[in-house]
Amino acid sequence: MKCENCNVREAVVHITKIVNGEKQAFNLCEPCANKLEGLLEDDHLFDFHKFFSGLLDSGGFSFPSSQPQRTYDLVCPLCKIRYSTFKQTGKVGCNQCYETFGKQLNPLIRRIHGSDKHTGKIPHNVDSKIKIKRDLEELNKRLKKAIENEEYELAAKIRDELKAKNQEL
Amino acid sequence: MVWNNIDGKENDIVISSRVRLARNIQDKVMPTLMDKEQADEIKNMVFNSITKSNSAISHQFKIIDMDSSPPLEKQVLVEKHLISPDLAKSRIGSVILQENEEISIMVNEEDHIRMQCILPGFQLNQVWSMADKVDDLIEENISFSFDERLGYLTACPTNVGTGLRASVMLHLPCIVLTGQINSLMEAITKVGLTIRGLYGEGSEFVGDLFQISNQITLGFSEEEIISKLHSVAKETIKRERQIRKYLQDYNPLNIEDKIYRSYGTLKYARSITSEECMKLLSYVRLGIDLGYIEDINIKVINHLMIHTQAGMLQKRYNKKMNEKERDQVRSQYIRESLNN
Ligand SMILES: [Zn+2]
Ligand SMILES: [Zn+2]
Repeated sequence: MKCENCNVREAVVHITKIVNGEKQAFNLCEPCANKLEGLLEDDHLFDFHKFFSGLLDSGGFSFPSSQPQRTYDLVCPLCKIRYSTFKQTGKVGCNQCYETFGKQLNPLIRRIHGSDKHTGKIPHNVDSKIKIKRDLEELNKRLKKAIENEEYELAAKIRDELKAKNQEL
Repeated sequence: MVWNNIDGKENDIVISSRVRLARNIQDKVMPTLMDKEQADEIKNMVFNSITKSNSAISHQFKIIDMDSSPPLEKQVLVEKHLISPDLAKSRIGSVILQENEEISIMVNEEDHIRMQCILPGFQLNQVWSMADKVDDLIEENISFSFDERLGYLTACPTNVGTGLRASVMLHLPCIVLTGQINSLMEAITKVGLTIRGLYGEGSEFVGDLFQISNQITLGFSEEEIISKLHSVAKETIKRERQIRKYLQDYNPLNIEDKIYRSYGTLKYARSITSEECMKLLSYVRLGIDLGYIEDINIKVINHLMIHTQAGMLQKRYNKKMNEKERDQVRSQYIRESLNN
């Protein structure tokens, strides 16, 4: 589903709002939703009208004068689960969720594991660039160590290896 | 069951070593969101990836669907630690099981794939290398969900990265007897591992059996995780051995009496609950290691620890039994085993 505001990016944010006792839902992309959220925070109802001018013209919304009730919820485009569902169950619905809910999940993952960098096994059929990058990191570490230990002959050898690896990229 | 067939190293204290890898298939929704048809597709993908491979083990597997298995069969698989209680309850889950039960692959549990390798004794490196190979085999035909930064992606963020859970099951009767189990548990938690006791039908720890496993799956390589668990287990084994020797040399708790009483009860009782059974088996197991009991092989005791559970007994005698009947049959089965 495309964002209802810009019609360009994929809609991943789902905002519901009670308008005159009726539930209204907006499906937006992240940047548009952030803009809308900012407007709502500041309670700029006038700008809010303008922001949705396109929708207003066609849909004829009317906004109550009181502060609108709202929930802010991300929806995964692949499995369609909401971030609020993840918060309840602690389980994602698919691999895409890690990207969709990245902003929320990454701090959580760092808290759980004390790290957010995988250093273990890599699938054999995965993009070989990942493997080369991993090798480069390893070589750089060894190079630094060799220099610290003043093992210059070794350092020169590692540098050659680095050069060769870099060309594989 | 593998616990009692082969000799594992340090098998006076280490009952078994286990590795589990969680994997998911790229761009497929997680099992919680699946219907039966989607689940079957995943199941067939995984099963075919093994059976149609050129591997030497490709013909050794059978598939068991949870929705079409009788409850007793499932209970037995849970008691043998081949599937989780959650999988047993699932309508869409299956297990792909190796004949010798060393490798079991749960499909559509929390993750699409959870492969487990288990060996008797202290063989962490061996189980890891087995699991690594099974992983390679499945991966030849299936694209796993993998992220450069987060590693293997799992249903629960607590498993991302390596998706690896490695564990050892230890028999620690003397650490328990001398009241040191709580401080051991604290120490192990502090180094980032978890330890939990094996629960019986009630809520008490039974059989002095404890499982130590890694908690963190991201930020360390598989080898680093295994090696940390290995060294912590080794320290724990050393401690248990020291206390065993102390209790034997100075006999402050009259351990010899405890062992022979337990042996006597097991040999002659006419009814025995599962909890009492595990407690007594624990002392007899210790008695064998300390040389008090010479006519019983430790493998017989390991076998009894598994095969006297409720589901296993009912399967052996091929009938549904209430608790009272089970207690009688349990004592009968123990007598037969110890007198052979
Ligand atoms: Zn937009
Ligand atoms: Zn998703």
